[in-house]
Amino acid sequence: MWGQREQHCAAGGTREHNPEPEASVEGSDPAPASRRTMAPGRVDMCRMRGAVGTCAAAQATLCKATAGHRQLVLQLGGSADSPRLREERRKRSAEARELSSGLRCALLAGLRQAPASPEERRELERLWVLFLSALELFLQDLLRAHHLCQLFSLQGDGAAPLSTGLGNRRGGGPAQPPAAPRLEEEIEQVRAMLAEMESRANIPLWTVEATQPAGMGSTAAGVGQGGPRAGPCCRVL
Amino acid sequence: MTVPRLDQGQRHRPRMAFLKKIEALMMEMQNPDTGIKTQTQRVMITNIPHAVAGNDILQWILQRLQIPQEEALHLGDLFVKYGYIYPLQEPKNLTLKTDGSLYRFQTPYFWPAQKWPADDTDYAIYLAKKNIKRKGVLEEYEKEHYNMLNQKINYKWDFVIMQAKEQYKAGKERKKADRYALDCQERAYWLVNRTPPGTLDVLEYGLDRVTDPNENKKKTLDVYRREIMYYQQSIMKTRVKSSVSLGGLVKYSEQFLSNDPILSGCLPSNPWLTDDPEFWDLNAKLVEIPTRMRVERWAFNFSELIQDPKGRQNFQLFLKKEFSGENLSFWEACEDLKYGDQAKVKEKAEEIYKLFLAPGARRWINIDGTTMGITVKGLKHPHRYVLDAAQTHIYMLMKKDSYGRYLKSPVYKEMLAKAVVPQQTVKKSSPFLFGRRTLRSSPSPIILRQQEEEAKAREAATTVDITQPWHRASPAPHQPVYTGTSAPPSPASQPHGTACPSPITVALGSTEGAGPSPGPFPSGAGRPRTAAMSLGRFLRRGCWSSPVFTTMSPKCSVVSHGKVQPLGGRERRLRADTRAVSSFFQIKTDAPLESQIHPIDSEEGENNHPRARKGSVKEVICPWESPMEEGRAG
Repeated sequence: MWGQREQHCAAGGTREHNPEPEASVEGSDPAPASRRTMAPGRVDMCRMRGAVGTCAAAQATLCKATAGHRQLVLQLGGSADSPRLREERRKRSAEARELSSGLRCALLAGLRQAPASPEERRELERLWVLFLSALELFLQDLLRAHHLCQLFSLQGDGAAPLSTGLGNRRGGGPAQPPAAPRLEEEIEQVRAMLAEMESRANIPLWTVEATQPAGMGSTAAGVGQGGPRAGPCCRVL
Repeated sequence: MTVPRLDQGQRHRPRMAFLKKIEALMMEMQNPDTGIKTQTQRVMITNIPHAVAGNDILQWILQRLQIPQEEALHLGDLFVKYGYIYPLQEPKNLTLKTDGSLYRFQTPYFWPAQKWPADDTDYAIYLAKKNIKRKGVLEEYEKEHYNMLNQKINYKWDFVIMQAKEQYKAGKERKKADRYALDCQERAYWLVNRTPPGTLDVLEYGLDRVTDPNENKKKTLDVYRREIMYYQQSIMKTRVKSSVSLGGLVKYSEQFLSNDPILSGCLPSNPWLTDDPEFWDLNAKLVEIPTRMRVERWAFNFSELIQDPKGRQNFQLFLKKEFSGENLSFWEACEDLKYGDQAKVKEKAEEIYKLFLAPGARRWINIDGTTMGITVKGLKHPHRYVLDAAQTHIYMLMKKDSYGRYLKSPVYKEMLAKAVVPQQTVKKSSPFLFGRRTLRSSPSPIILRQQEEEAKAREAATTVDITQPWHRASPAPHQPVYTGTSAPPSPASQPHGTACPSPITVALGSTEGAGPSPGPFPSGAGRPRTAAMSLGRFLRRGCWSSPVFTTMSPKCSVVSHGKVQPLGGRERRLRADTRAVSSFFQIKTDAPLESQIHPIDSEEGENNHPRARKGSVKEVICPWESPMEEGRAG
């Protein structure tokens, strides 16, 4: 199913085989087992729900990847900084970028086809907005990483890292080629993705409402209890 | 998704050159040989390395920068406040303690950056993380921020929660010491960038700037040209030496110290403390008898006098004796124009012109030719500040000329003698009652305004203007507008001119053809019209002799006028309307059709000029008026 989505995807992007999302698809999609037994008319609906489900799962995985990436960037320039750390950061970044490109294709495809129900549409829009936010955060972290890597270059012309209380500082690891060009490429890639997304889909922000309650107690205005509501809701500052 | 805003200026964070300097020092501190020695912090059972003592930091700064102790301490304190070093034992207290208190260096990710402000989304994620870790651990101000952010970025709230969960999970995977250090770092970052209420926010820089300091502009010819223009304009700005301005401030403070109610106490008592509103009553805008301190303040400088309504009133009394009351009235009229209704600006400007500035105006003020020229030109397209030049001229005239004499005059001295010095009231000591009962508030603005108007009316009723002739016959219930002695209007000022020189009688003699008969006018309405007519004719005959002219023009007090209308053939009622006269001009509601606002038309003004110049002035016509209005004058 993921492969089908990729073929729909007009943009070049990465065509790598993504084991993770598929695995999560298997896990999270409730429909496949029962699909054979359902009437043909309802297959579409299940597929739709499945699409949303995969997107949601992919979004969760993307969040995890960006969180991990952020924690690694946090340690750049500190006492835990090492070539190994930077290598790990690069890996995480690649992972996040793959996930995001796949998710982008999926969302675009889902939005382009007329979805079965307005709830689906709303759900996809919500996921779209969440995806954009995640990408923005990721981009910000990449920019910071770029800045820090330049400031605390491990080649010797940069500054000495700070003693920040974290361990695992090992000066070993294979001799790394200068990582700056690759970082810049990463940043460019994410920027391009963001720009493309913003231009492709015209989804106004205010139509998306949170489904999570604020969880702060009495002072929280009754926010987003339950699923997304009908109609736009202008949140003017 | 953050909505990118359209750049309409003032979106750029300013230069923060100090950041790079601090960073350089921070990095030097890491040097194993010349840097600061680190210790190990013991937190329960874990040992976390890289802690430094406050005293060590101070000593290092002293030694490295060779500055006095005080400066070094201040600098070290700033390092902590900016978030480059954070305290370990008292995280919320961002100061440098020079005892053995421990600090640690902040990771460069959390250093303040000029390019990137601390993001709201990040803060929301941090608070959500804190909430997930332990429910209810957020402080009050953090809860407020949380709720506010929930509303502000509600569309990405699901993402915030998701990300918070993931970051929390990622943190848990690390070993305990690292996790503790990371938590401390993040907490320190947010204590610096979202300061709790009551703490000084050192990173605050005021407004965003228009230009981007990070922009690398290629130095083209155009750029240089603009730079030159900018610097030339900066040079042209008026400058004052700081010694002079500071000297002025000191002088002002010394002079006004005794008058300041907070610094020097106020008599009878501070209403907020004793709940006794006598202070407000005694210092009302147009109180009958002002306080002594207030009257003494009028002698400090002219602006003190003119800004106090009571002072203005007293000054006007003096000016009337000197026959220059129209100056202050003009000034007040200009203020009304400046700060009044936008819709009425055009009308008011015209009225002021007709009353004060036009040649032959009833209350003509004496300004020089250049200013008059500028003003008349500006009045073709009137706006609020069109009379600024004239107003300034009159202001300076009053200040340089009349003010000095005023301070020596009996009017002022009398007021000073009359002024009251309130006794200080004893503060009632009933502490347990104070908290229970509701305290009085300061007087409501509506009531204040009513009181002011009543006071104005009262003043108008009691003062007498010796140059006001025809109010005698007016059937109005109150005696309006007479200042000074209540002498009967002198014959000389009667427009029906018993003692007027012959040209006037001739002029007046020929008024019968002009409309309503010049007999006694019960309503007083027609008379002014003929007065205007006769005045016009008188002037037309070229009798321009000023002494006669000055006696001719009646000087009405400002406050008495009910409905003033410009001359030029419209009905003018000089009935003293002593009911609430709040503004100088009131537009008559039942105006006859002919009394419309003249279109200010420059072309027609040009047509008019030759005619106007022919016989000095036909009537009091504004140069921009349309010619057809003339015919209605009779």
